[in-house]
Formats: sequence, structure tokens, C-alpha cells
Amino acid sequence: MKNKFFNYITNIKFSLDTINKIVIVLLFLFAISSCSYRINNISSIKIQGSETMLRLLENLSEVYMSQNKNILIFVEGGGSNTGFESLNDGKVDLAMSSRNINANELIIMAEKYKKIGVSHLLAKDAYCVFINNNNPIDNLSKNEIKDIYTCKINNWSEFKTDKIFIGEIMQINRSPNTGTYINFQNTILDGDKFCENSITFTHNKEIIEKIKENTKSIGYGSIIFKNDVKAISIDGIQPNENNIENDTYPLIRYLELYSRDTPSPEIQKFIKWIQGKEGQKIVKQNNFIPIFKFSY
Amino acid sequence: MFKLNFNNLFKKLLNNWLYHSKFINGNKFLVVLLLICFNLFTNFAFAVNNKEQTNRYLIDTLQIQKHLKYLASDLFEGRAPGSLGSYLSAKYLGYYFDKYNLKPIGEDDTYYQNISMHLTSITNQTVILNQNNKEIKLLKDKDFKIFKFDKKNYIPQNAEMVFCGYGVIAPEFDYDDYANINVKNKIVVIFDDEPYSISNDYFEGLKKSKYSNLESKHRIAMSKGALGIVVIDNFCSFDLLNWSKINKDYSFEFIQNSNKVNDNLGIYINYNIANSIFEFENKSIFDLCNDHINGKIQSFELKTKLKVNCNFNSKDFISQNIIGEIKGNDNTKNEEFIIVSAHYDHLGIGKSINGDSIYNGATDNALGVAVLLEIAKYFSIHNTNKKSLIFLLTTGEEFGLLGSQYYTQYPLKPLQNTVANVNLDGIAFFDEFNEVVILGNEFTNIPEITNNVLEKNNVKLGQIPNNFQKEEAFRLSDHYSFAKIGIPSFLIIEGMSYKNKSYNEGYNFLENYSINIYHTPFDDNSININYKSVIQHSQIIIDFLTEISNTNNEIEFISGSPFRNSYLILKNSK
Repeated sequence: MKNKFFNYITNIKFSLDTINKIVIVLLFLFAISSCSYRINNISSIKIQGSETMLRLLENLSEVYMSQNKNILIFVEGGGSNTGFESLNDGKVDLAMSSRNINANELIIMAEKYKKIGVSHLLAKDAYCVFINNNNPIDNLSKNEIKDIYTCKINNWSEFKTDKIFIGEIMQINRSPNTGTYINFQNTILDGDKFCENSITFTHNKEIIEKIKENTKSIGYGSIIFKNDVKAISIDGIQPNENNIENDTYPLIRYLELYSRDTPSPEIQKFIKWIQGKEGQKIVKQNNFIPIFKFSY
Repeated sequence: MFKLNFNNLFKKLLNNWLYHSKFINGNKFLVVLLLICFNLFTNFAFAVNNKEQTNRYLIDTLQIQKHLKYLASDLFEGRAPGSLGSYLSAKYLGYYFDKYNLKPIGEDDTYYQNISMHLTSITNQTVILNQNNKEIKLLKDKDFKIFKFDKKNYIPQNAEMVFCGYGVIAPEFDYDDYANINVKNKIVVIFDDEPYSISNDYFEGLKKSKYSNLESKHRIAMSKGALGIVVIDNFCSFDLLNWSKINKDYSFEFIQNSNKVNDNLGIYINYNIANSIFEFENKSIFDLCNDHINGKIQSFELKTKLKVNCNFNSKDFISQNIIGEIKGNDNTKNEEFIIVSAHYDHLGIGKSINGDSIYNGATDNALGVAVLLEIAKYFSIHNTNKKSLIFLLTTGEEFGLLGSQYYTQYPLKPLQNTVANVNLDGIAFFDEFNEVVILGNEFTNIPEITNNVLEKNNVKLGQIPNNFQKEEAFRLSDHYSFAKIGIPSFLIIEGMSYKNKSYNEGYNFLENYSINIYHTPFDDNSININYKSVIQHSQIIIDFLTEISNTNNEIEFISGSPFRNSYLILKNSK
């Protein structure tokens, strides 16, 4: 059991400071006990899920742990599907997700725990459709993007631009176990299937690297990468802060944490902190859209 | 004095709002107009005669009237969470907590507890029944009403539907509408009722048991993997008033706490159109009505499919509970707390009726808040309470007890030491009364306290009218949030016996109020308030609070009450 716990810890991505802190505390924990996660007022919060939310939650956790010495927060990615799976397996306290819990996941939760879950709203996110900086296109309609991802349009020559730009389109897709994939499928493809031509990556960064490298590529991913490659307008609407805040831009979603039931006081405190002034400031620093504004 | 101070406060608030609100940019005209309105308003003469009545605790009737006039004025926009009116109300109430010397126990030493909320409003909604590729378009408000919606809901596009009886699972009666049917990824169609019985041993006979609760039915459907529920209203009866009540109740935006239990789509269908759903089935809705009476309702798959089209907007915002403390005078008891609550929110701006779209909520619950403020002032001056009193003005009650639920999740004083809640919602304003109903009394062990209060005020204990099931009646306001987690909770309302009016006059008044005033724009400052009954009600509440704050006996949810287990869990977690 100790080994299992240790493996779990070492597989998680942390900043060096955090790792040092955790190792020290863990040595202390192992010294006095087996693998209980709440000893001498030290509590742990385990979070897994959305890759989009991973960096944000890591940053939030780091600041929160530095202010609350008795809390250990373990954050792991893997996608929204994995997050709900782990939540239902009882491996984590919170699932990070950029989509709603689905019927299958709910049935499992209801059967195992007699609960249908509680979602905690944290931030708003927009994701963009990206193309290579050398591609002269600035705007596509929703239907044109749909045609690209369902392989009805396969060559850039089908779009009229000032500069001649031709070549077979390389469709880049997110992994099917990500919330972004499902959201994109529902919002842009109206639930239709992606064509099989696309290549798939799990991480946003991999997609961005591929788009940088291949001038004929198109992909989609978090808005935080919009300065690295070209983020196009959709139906003439730019992915800027104003359009995202007022829900005009179509590729918007809410980022949430899910728990099986009303969480423990320690976890509630952490969530409340994220929803508060300080947490929302970090949300903004991470290029997501803070949704709660304070004015007293 | 009042006018001068509050004018300054108001200007400061508006400047603050000017700074924070995008809406106000470019709307300077509006600000000027608001200021003019406000000045006119503060110059308005309040007329009240409080000399004649018996006022044992010298409650300031004039001040109650002033609070009411402000909170229920159009300037406060009906106080819906997230609105400017709500923000102004919160500032107004915080100002009075400070003026009455309550100790701030909110966040950052303020009177405020910030609650993050999420709002969704739907536009252009259509519901279409698809039967063998023939589409029947239902009419909004007449045929259907969406009662639950969130931006992240699945919106059905020709989704399969399953009839699931009442949508009830009741193991103690060996009853399960889902026993032989798969509802995963389908829409569940249910009746807004429960299995019929005249025996009290089965689903509590003709009274509505807890299994009729729509929220529970919704959650059960979700837990079975359903994508949404369609509820057929008014099953086996032709009570037109029920549909107009549903129309009224669900005409506003959907507001939820940002930490919310999962939800999915919920649609009410009017009984008059419901037969269309069963057009291609072996049983019509009339056959099902017979099955209901004969206890033969069975679930089955439907041939009709459901399609919903709509646009929606969403908004995220902070709304505030307002909270202050009056410390108990006994050092051995003042670490025990009694929450005195009243919701200050109302429905805001909604569907216009006769040219009025502001739902001011004068009696629901601006009057309750006004009374709470003056009760707080009384205890602040006299400090007759041994235990500490926590005055909590909640937001979001009208949208699902949001503020009180939030407080129970994020308490500002330990819940284990919170010994009771007294909720103010629905202060008597018709006539002085001979009877009171104490909701919560029958669940708790306070006969001595009740008797003392009744005796002191020369009133009798009335009963909840028969058509309300006890637990159901108990669910309707913030005290339910506290009861749910095991804190003995009470709501004191007037009974149906009045001093100067006959029973029939009282009944007619209540009927008119519930149909034509309650949750309409006409619950405003034009309502005639009998301040003698307000004072009488306030005195009873003061006496009740004094008794429970000074008793040496522990107040308990008694054995057999639906909240006994929660009470024991809370008590044992000390």
C-alpha cells in the first residue's frame, strides 16, 4: 500500500518547490503511519481530470499550499473522462472537467455512492481553432470548420484568399477522452462524427507544435496558446476577452470541479478560495476568464 | 438625520457601482435619473399612527414602514440576486446592521458572505413532439414550461422517451417505476403525482408523501442515466389554477449556486396536451388515469420523440448573505447560537402584467426583513438573550433556498453549536390574530416554550391546513435548509382566526392574495399593511427568541421527526 501511494505521488507533475515540500511532508507521514491521508491535521485533496485545467489547478494548488501548511493537493491530468473514472473509482476527491458529467458516469456514481454529484464552477474558458501563421485565412464559418472536420472540404484551395494558398488540409484532433473533443463535436459538428483522416494528440502543446511545424494544418485547443499560432475568428467573431465574457464567441465552456457529494470542509475551503478574490486573480493570470467579480 | 446619512451612503454606493459596472458606462443619464428618483423618494412622507396599539417592546413601527418602503420600491428592482437592486439592498441592510450595533461576522470583518452564483435564461424556446415524422409543436406557457435548465444541459434533438409512471422508487412499499425499464440516454416522462391510495399506510394515503417531491424525482431519473424529465402536470384532475401557478413559478431566470448538485433538463407539459404523447400507444392518458386509480400504472417505451430548440444566455455573479451577531449576555451560554433568518431577495424583473414588470415582493419578504431589523435593534439595545443571536439575511431563497443552503455549507459559526433557527417569512399584515402556527413545533420538544409564548401573547396554537402535508409545508422557506442538516428550525405564521375579521373574510383574503398578489408585480408598496398585526407578530417572535435563547433545555428534533437522524449526526459531531 505504501508503494502504491508512493507510485501515485511520483507520477504526478509538480513544480520543484512543491515536490520538495511534499517529499518532506510525506517522509514525515510515512514515519508515523501507514497510508492514511489525514494525520495530525494534515489533509490531502486529490484531483484528476481535464488537461486544459491541469496547469491552472497546479498553480492554484501551489499558492494555496504555501498559505495552508496542513493541506496537500495532488493534481493529475489525463482528460475529463479519466477524471470522472477516478472519481467514480474513489481514487480522487475531485474531478476536473470542461464538460458535464454524462449518463454513463452518473449511473456508476449513483449505483456506487447513491449520489449524483456536485459541480463547482471555477472559471470560463474559450478554445480556439488554430492554423499556421503562414496561412492567410483569418476567419472561417462554423459550417466551413464542420466541413473540414467531416472531410467534405479537404484542400485549402477551396477557400478564397488574397494570397494563393493551396494544399491538402491536415486535420488535427484532440484525444476523444478530452472534454474539448466532446465540446467541439457538439458545438461545431452538431454531434456528427469526425472523419478518420485526422491525427490525434492528447495534449494542447503537441497540437500547437504540430501546427507550428505544418503550414497546412488546422487544430483546436485552449485560448492560452492563441499567441503561439494563428487563432481564427468564427463567423466573424474574434476570440477576444469581451466576446468570451458575454458569450458571443461560440467555443466557450465552463471549467468545473466535480465531487461525489458535498465535499469535506477542507475541500470546500479550497474551492471557496478559488472562487474568491485571490483564486480568481490566479485564474486570470493563467489566461482563463475569471467569472466572479468582487465589489464590497 | 436618516435622510442625510442615507443619501450620502446612496451616492457613495452609486459611485462605487459606477466604478464597477460596465452597464453604467455611457448611461450617466440613468444615474442622474436614479439620484433624482431617490431624492424624491426620501422626501416622501411616511404616514403611520402607532400610538393606539399595544406595543410592549416599543418596536419602531415607523422604521419598519420606512424599511419596507425602501426595500419594496422600484429602485430596488425586486431584489433578484445579481441585480443592481440586490446589491443596493445588501448595502442598505449592512448599513442598518452597523447602525444597530450588530457585530460583523462575515468575510473580511464585513457583514457580507459572498456567494458565487450562475444564471441561465432561455429565449426562443420551442418543444416539438415527433411522431412517425409528424411534428407537433407545443406552445410555450400554454402547453409547456421549462422548469429546469442549465447551459450545460443536453438539449434533446429527437430523443427517445420512456413513460416511467410517477418516477418513484420507494423500497419500503416495494415500489419501483424503473424496475423493468431502461432509461439511459432517454427522456423520462412522468406524472406529477404518486401511487394512489386511500390507506395512510401506503404513500400516506390521500396526502402527498415525500415521494411526490419533484426534486427527488428529477434526481432519481438522472441517477438512472436519463437525459431529462418531462412532467405531466395535474394528472387526473382539471385544476386550471395549478397550471397558472406553474407558469408563474417558472417565469424567471434560473439561478443556482456555483457549487450545485448536477441537474438536467426539466419540462412541465400541460395535462390538456399530454394525450398527444400517448397518441400512438396502446393506452391513452385517460386509460392511464384509470390505471392510476386502480394501482396499475406501468412503465413503457414511447414511440413519440422529443425535440427542444432554444437559445440561452448565462451570467456569473456574486450575491451576498448579510450577517451580524448580538452576543449572548451569559458567558456560559453565548457560544451557542440561534440563527434568526429572513430572505431579502425576491424575483426581480419579469413578465409584465398590466404594464408593471417589477416584482417588488413587499410582503415576500421585504416586510419580514424590516421586522428582523427592528427585532435585531431590540436585542441590541436590551440584550435579554443568554445565547448569541445570529441575524442572517439570505439571498436566493426564491430560486431554491440558495443563500441558506450556502450558509449551511460554509457556516460562519460552528453548526454543532447552532442550536436553533427562527425564520421570518410571511409576517401577518391582514389583521390582528387569535392563533399562530409554529412550523417545526410538531417536530421538536418545545411544548413549554410554546405555551409560555402563547400565554404571554394571548393567542392559541393553530394547525397547518389539512391540504398541506407537514413535511411538504416545511420545505418552502429557508428554515428547511437548517432543518435538513439537523438544526431545529421554526417559522411562526398567523393562523386563520382573526380578531376583527370573520373566517370567511380571512379565507377570501388569503385566496385573493395567493392567486392575484403572491409572486406578481402587485405585491408592492400599494398593499395595505395592518401595522397592528405586524407589531403583534414581531412581539411573538421576540418572546419566542427570548424563550429559546434563555432555556436550559436542549432543543431537539424528536424521535419520529424526519430530521431526527440529521440532528443526531450534527450533535454527535461535536
